[in-house]
Amino acid sequence: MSTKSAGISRRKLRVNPAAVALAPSFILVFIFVYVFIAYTIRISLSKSWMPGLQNFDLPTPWYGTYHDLFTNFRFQADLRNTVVFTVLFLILAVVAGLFLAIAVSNMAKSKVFFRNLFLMPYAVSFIVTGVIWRWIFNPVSGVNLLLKYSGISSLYEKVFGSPLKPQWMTSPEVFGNMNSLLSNVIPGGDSLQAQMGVPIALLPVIFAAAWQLCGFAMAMFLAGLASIPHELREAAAIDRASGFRYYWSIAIPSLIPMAVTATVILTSTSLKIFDLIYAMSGSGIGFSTDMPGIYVYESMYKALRYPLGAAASVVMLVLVSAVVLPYLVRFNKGTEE
Amino acid sequence: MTGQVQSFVGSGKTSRRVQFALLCLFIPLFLIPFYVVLSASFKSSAGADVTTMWKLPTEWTSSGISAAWKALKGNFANSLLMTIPAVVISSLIGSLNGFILSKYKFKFSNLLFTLMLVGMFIPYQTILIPMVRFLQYIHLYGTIPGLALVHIVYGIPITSLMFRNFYVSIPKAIVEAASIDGAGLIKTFVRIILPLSLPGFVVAGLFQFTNIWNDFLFGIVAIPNPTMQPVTAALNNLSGTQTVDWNVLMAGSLIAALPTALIYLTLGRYYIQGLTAGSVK
Amino acid sequence: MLRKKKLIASVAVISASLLGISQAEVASAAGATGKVEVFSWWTSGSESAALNAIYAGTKKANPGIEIVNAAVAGGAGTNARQVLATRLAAGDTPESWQSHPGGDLKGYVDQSAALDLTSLYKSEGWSKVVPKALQDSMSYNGKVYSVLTGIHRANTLWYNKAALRKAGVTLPAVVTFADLSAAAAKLQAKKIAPLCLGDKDIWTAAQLLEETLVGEVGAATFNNLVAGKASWSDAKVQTAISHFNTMLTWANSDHKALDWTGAVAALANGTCAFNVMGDWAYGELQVKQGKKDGVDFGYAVIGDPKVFVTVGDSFVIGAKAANKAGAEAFIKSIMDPKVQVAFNKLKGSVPYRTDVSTASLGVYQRGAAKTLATGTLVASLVHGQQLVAASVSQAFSDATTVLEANQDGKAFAKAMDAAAKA
Repeated sequence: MSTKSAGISRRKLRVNPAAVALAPSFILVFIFVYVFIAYTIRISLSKSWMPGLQNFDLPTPWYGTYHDLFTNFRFQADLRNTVVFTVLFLILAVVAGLFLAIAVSNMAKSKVFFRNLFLMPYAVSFIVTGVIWRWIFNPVSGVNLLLKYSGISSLYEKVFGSPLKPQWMTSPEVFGNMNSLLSNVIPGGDSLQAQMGVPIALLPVIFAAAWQLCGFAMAMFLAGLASIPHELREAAAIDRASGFRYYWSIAIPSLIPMAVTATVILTSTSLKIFDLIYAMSGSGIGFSTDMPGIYVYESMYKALRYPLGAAASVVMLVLVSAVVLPYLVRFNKGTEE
Repeated sequence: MTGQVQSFVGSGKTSRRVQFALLCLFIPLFLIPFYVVLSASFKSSAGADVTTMWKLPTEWTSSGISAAWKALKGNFANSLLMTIPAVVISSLIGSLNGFILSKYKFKFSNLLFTLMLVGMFIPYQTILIPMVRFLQYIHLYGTIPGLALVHIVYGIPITSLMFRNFYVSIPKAIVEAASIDGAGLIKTFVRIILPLSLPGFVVAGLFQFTNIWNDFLFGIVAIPNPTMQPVTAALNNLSGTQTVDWNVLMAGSLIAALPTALIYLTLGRYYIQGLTAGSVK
Repeated sequence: MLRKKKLIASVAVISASLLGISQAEVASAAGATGKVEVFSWWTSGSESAALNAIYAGTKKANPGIEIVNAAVAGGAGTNARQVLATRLAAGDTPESWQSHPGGDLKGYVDQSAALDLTSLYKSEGWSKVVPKALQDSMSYNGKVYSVLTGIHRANTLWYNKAALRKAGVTLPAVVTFADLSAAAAKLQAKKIAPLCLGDKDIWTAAQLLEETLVGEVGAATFNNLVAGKASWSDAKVQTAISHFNTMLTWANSDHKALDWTGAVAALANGTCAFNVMGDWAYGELQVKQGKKDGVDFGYAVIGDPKVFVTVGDSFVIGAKAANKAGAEAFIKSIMDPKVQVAFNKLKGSVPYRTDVSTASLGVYQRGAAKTLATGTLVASLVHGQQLVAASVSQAFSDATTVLEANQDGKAFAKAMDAAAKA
């Protein structure tokens, strides 16, 4: 919808072409996101909604479903797991991606090989990589066998005295306990039943997810590195700056927008993660690897409790928005000239 | 171009040797899982199991591969028909949005953008039912264009974010020069910005193709007819409720991943360095 | 079009009855036509082969019918339910779909999504040949809503003969916890894991707990517990729970990383000795693992031998489906005695019609069929077969997950009491 006054200063146009060009996207996203979320919220506030019988009567009290949700051991464990998973996964994937990108960009003949190798895992479906890593982390027939045959196990035993037999995601341990701290900080925190720490069983899962997605982070950083003007590198060389100094003071700071984008995208992936976990470890012993995505899936389609699943989704969305959006707003303001 | 070492800073001989050595340490980490998948693909149904994962097939057979191909081949066309248009359109829209949001800001544009980003975080399980009813309303339920539309819409926030942050590094001077020369928004976008966007399209294309090709949930819900579903639905159905032929599933996963892998190999060639550098005049 | 066909059919019926030909024969001569969409989660292997046997029977009796096989695997039916829920919400109902008699079916009845089949049961005479307990499991308020394809048994135990021999153990045909305990001690002395368990998916452990519980408290009390009429804190329940906790210590160390087929494979290999699993393990052992009944492996009943813990699959007719006549033809062919035999032969489950001969089936199935006909039937809660809301079954699984980590029987009882009474 270009107007006849295109080319003249924007201030004279009554309709901003930028807004017009942006409008269709916004309208579509508005429908597919906000309208659908509103529908979901409506379901979460009903007593017994079902797809074939769309009964929107309110339960008593009206927030009853949400109360059930937060006092539920499983959902508490899910919240803990998603926080632990997201933080550790992001750190691992982004740092690995950055390192790989820098190293790969400095290679000459092997650059294409390495770039493709590290990106390949991203192409495979999560369902299957979940199974593969479940096999690999099997405490009896998996990588523990390799540790044994390579002599690492016996070396460990000599050094530390106890045998090296990692349980990986079959481990029921939770490292750390923040329950007492949290019960003072969060309202209703004393009804926390799940132990708020780092479930050891999550670590192999985080590793598998990072393995699959660090290639994508690497790809983003490679694009970012490619955008650094040549002049900057030449100037650094002329000044006889060391490689380390160059990366630390120039290259990495200029990659920060890319890092933020990668973080936001990987966060959205990690919050919705389902297939990888479901195939790799299921809900885990004592819900040590359960995720909100699995909880929603089972609440709605196994327990047939649609309001509960909807409530869990709404809670996840609110929590995520509360954490991510302020950073995005601040970042957006920061990049304005 | 790809053989050229990017710079001479941090790429002194020893420094590069160290980096190369470290990269080589990563090789087994990335290859081992693929070894497991590949060796399982060539085993017989009973031979492919968690207990034999490290061993090469005792009897090499292609039964897994042929069974997987038979099950998957009918759905490849569906996946291609859905994915390619969705990737292209969502990337183009994302680049236009990114351009506007970084160079043509107006009042509330940042707010609109932030609100749009919420779309990235929505858990898909819950919006399935309103999504299906909406698709019915616009008469696209059960069709591949309907599925493509869903992917396009949910891809817009991400591609817009990618391109917006990519375009931040393009100096405003270029855009201003164009408007002084009389070019409007669309002309500036098409003539000047798009040619500079190749690395952005590479990353967006990579992400979108992988996401959309590997999607399973929307595929089975938006299209109830199994013959029209994407290949991920057929891959999922290779595992029965009760028992799984691992060799077939592994072979199937490799076959299903081939197009994506091909895209990576093709797009990788377009990581052209220093594209934006030297464009400042 | 449909009305015209109905008119012709009515005329045919009237003239046929004048000629003394039975209504059923006339109806099958005309046959249903049109598209029939059947939605299930049976996508591969023996399951899809068995389903195809039903389709073959349907097409034979109704040459004009076109069957669309819509199947989605995953989550033991949960993926399929996910798709079905969206379709029901959109009003795009398949003609027939698979459902577990129990909480799953109740969900469809509550939504008025499943058609009342009582009149069909009467007119086809099925009420006389379907055991009452089974018919009741598919009924709400006196109306029956689905037909069963076959019944699996959950309270069975499978053992590796070589492993038991090595430890000098013999298991009787009916095992109790005491038998297993004694066996476990001897097996552990020989460094063989007594229990094969693959509970990455918690249902296998939940099933182990359930069969132990049923064996300990009996059928009637179990049903009361599920219905919220008895308390889970009762001494016998707590005993069963502590038995379960003990059994977990006998399990192979990688049990959380294996699915049920991995556990059966371990059993076949002899790395562990016995496995509490439903009788779908029989097919897995024989076909996939290539082991021989009586030579490599044997089986026993866990708990009371007269108790048959049922795991059945059934199909409903969509209340809002377009081609109800076609759906009916499909349902009728499921109940056809010939199809029943063909289906159950492939699936490994037991045909339940009292007038179907099991002579052509294997030795295990023949024995199971006898128990099914004469024993006490208990619907499995873990597999959603109990006539309560599906959320009770989910609560049981969730409580088992927690129990596995903390061994706290009292917390388990508290959770189940709350869920059963809700």
